[in-house]
Amino acid sequence: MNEIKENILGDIEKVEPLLKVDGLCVSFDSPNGPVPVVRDVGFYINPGEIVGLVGESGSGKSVTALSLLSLIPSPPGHITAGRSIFEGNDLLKMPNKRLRKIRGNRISMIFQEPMTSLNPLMSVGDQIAEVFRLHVGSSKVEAKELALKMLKKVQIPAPEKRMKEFPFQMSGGMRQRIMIAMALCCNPTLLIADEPTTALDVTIQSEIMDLIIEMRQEFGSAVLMITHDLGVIAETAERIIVMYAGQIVETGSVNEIFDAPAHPYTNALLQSLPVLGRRARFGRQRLQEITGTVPDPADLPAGCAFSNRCPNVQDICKDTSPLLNETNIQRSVRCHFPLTLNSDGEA
Amino acid sequence: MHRFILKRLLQFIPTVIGVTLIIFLLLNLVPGNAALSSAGRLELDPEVVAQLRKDFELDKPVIVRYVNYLGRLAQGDMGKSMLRRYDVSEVVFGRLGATLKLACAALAIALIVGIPIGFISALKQGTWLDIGLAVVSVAGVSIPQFWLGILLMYVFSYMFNILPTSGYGGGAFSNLILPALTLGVGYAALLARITRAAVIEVLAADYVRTARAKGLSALAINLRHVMRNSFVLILTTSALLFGSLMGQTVVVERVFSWPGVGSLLVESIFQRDIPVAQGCLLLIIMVFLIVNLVVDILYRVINPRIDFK
Repeated sequence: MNEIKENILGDIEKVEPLLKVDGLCVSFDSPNGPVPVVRDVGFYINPGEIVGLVGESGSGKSVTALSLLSLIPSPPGHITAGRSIFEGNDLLKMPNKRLRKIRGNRISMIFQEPMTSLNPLMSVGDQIAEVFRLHVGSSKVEAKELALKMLKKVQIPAPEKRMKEFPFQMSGGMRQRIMIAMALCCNPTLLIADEPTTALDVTIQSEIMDLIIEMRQEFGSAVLMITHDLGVIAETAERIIVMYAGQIVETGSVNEIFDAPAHPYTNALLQSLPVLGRRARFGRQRLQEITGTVPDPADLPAGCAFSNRCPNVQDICKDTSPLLNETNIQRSVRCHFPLTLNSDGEA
Repeated sequence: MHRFILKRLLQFIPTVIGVTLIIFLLLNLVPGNAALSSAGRLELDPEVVAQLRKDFELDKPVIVRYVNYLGRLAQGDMGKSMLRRYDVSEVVFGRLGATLKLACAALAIALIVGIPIGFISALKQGTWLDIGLAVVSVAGVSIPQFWLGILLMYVFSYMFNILPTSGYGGGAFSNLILPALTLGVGYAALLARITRAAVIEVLAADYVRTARAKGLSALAINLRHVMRNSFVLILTTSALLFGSLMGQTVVVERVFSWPGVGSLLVESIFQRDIPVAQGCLLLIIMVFLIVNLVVDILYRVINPRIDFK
């Protein structure tokens, strides 16, 4: 058993991670002083891997993602500590000029709001062509041709006509396709998708997810998929990072997280997920909600950030913050009393 | 596009009729007019007074006078001055050039000074530079024009004696500087505030974040993404400013004895020369309407979201 485990670990460690984030801290200025929004976040992404970053609204997952490319609005946001090593260089210490060469080129982003994330006064063709002009140095004509190719790749019907259209003439799903096309122009090694389907209709959501997966296979990019919806990443991600109140509370492979969540918060998130056939399995009538709300980052509980909502809370939780305990490189949990596996594989 | 312009031109007709009605009623319902007061001062015969009343249709009801006025207006006849018997249209249009020159010069100052200041304040938001510019702008908006005019006159004409105090100077550029500055400073300050607000709004937009995520430089983002989007907001306001600028010329023209429509309007009102006052007002309003039309067309050129239908 131990031997097998070591072998697996050895294999995992052989791969040089594409991105390695360490001790990332971000705070936002407020009238009452800086408020820590992201606290000591560290994770890694291997080449070509899909990693899900999950958490409720306000858990700091978007800020984490935006900080990787120094895209948080500053002021009021500040990256106060941390490293983010990408292809051997620290993105956070990099001069702006060099970082700009990485943005949209080696690492690109897709945002939540396709409605407002495109310039309303610029034709979508021009907006895509802009990336080619910038990073590839194409001529105007070349950039247009390449942009047209990208539109075809993301399966936009009548691409020649759509090239000249403006965002307001398109549906939300179509605009998100444009965003994806724009993000993939330069064949990025890392694609950060910040809630790419949240603002879309349910039917369009799966189309866009499928497109992202398909594009990843074609371009071979690693994907950091940020979402508050565990269901979205259940089928797509390989590993999951769960964030709560600005901290990572649990990491693990999809199977580990779904089959044996160790943190009570992850467990609660899973319980609140509607699953076909779940009623029979759990013998329950209702979906379980998590009582209470995410704590205000300016007014966090003294001990564990989840202590005020945790069903298993003990005295120690209220005054001592738990550390992130690593079982192995990809499995970790931040809890004094992690849930243990029982014989059914259920928490 | 052509259909849109045509439609807007057709909308002009009811607007102009409405405007004439208001101007006509306001001026004619105010007691007193030049024809009778001039006659009274000279203590003329009742016969002459009766003749004057007849000449200016003062013996007829207001409604009849209005309809007749509108009929003549349709033929391009704005009536005759009650005092000097000249054609109103000739004099008023003769003065339009000077007013437009002043208004355009002031607008140019406002645009050239106001928009860059607004842009800089927005980009340097929250710094001392921004705060300093805000103080200057608020001061600029608050200074009354008649006072600023006299101050400028004192400094540049009396103390340094480098610019003429007042008058048209046969169209000399040196005569234009002080009145244009007086009129332009307040608008430059106002435009700076408006530009700042517009640019800050655009800078916070999601598509600016997208542009940054693409790897564009700050300059490229500002030029290609921020400027154009904020111009949509700035353009509308500048146009409205130009309209109010036309009205404000009245004060500045008075201070600098600038021979424009504004000073003619003030004179004619003091003298109760109703046809002249009507002509001046109508002209100022027409210019305002035409500017608005031009802006509407420009707005559609800049902003593709507005349908041409």
